[in-house]
Amino acid sequence: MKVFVVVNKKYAKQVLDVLQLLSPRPSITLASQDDEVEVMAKILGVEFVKFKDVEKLYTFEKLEEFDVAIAALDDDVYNIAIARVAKSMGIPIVIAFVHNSLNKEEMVREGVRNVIDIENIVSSYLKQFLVQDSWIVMKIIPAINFVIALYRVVKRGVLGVNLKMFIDAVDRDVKVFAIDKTGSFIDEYKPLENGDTIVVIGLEDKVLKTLTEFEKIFRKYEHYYTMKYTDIHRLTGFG
Amino acid sequence: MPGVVRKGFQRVTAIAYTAKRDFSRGVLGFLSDRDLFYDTYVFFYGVSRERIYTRFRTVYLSTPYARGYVFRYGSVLTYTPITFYLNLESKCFDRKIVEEVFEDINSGFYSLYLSTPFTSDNMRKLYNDKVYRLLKEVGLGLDLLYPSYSVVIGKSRVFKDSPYTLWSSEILAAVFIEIAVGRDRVRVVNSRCIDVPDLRPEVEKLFIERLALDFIAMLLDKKIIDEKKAMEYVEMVKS
Repeated sequence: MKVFVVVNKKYAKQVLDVLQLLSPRPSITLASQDDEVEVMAKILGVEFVKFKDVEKLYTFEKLEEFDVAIAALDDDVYNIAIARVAKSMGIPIVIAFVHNSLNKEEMVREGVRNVIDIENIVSSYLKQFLVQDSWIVMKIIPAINFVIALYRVVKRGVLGVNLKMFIDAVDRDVKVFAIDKTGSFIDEYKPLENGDTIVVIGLEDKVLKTLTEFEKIFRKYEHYYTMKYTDIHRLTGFG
Repeated sequence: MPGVVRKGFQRVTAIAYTAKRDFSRGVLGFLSDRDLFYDTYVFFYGVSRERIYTRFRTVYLSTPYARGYVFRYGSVLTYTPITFYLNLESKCFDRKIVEEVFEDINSGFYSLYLSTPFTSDNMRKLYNDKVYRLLKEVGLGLDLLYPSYSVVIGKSRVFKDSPYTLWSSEILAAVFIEIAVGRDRVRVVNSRCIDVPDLRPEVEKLFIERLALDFIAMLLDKKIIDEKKAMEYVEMVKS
C-alpha cells in the first residue's frame, strides 16, 4: 500500500506512529511545509516532498500511484484543497482532518467520506470533565457515523427515573445501558442516582432522535417532581 | 445586460465573506452568475455555531473575526487567475462597476482593485494615527485612506505571495504590489458609500495595531527600512 501524507509538525508524529503499525509496512511519502517534518522524514528514511503552495502538489507526478492520501494540516481550507488535489488525481481513499465540525459537509462535497473531526474529539472530552446533566455525543466510528452519547446524572438523580423507562422509548437499532461510579452495569429497574452515567450507542441520526425522547422523559418526571413539592394542582392538565 | 459573455473573458472565482448570519441576500443572485463566476465560496468568519444556508459552498473559519485570513484562504481554494472578494454585509455593491473591473484586470490595466470602504469612524481614526502616518512617512500606498474595503478584486497570485494580517490583508497586499511591481498596478476607489463593521472599539484598536506591526515587518522584510528605523516605527505605533 502506498500512502501519501500531507502533514504539519503538530500531527506528524501521531500519523507516522499509526502508519508504522500497519502490516505489511506501507510505502510512505510525506509532504509538508515544515522543516521539522523534513527532519523526521530523513531520520525515518521516508520519502519527503516540500511544498509551499497546495497548487504545487499537482506537479508531483507520482501522486496518481498512491492508494491512500491523508490531509492532516492545521487549517480546514488547506485540508479541503489537498483533498481536492488527491481526489482529482484519482487516489481512492482520502482521509482528512477537520477542525470545525461545520466544514465536514464541504469535505463530503469534495468526495471525502473519511473525516476526522478534531473539534468533536476535543470538545467532547472537555465536556466530560466540565458538563453535568447534559448529553455529550462522541463519534467513535466516523466512517459509518456511529456515535456514543453519555449523560452524567447529577441533579436529575433525585427524580427516581430508572433505565427501563428509557429502554422502552428507544429504537431497536440503538442500545442503552447505564454504569455507576465504579463502572459496573446498573440494573434496569434500579432508580438512577447522582454519579451514574447513561450510555447510548448507535448511528448518529438515530441516537440524536433517541436523546430527544429521553429529554422528554426527564422533563416529564421533573414536572411531577415540581408538582409534588410545590402543591400546585393545575385543573387543565399539563401546560 | 447582466452576465454578458465577452469573447476571451476568463471567469472569476468569487469569495464572499460574512461575520453575520443575517447578511443581505441581494448579492447572492449576482454571485451565482455562471457566465461570470467559475466557482463561488462563502466564508463565514463569525462566532456562530449554526450553519448559514446559501446555494454556495460554505467554509467556516476556525478563528473568528480574523477577516484577513479570508484573503489567504481564498487564494488557496481559487483556480482562476482573478479572484473577487466581496463583503456580504455590504450595502454599497454595484455589479456594473465590478464587471468593468473584471475586464480591466483581465486586460492587464492593473492587478488589484479596492473600493467601498468597510470601516467605522473610530477605526478610521486609529488607522490614520497608526498606519496612514507610516504610509506617508515611507511614501507608499497614499491612496489607501481607509483601513479595509468591501470590494477587493485582484489577481489570485497577489494574495498567495503577499503577507497577511488579522483584519485587513488587502492593505498589505496593495502596498506589496506597489513595492514589487509599481504604483499604477493598484487602483483604489474611495467611494462615498461606506459599510460599517459591527466591532467593539477595543477589538478595532487591536486590529489596527496588528496591521501597523505587520506593515513594519513587511517593510523590514523587503529591506525598505533598516532595523533601527523599524524600532522607531514600532515605538510610534505603540505610543
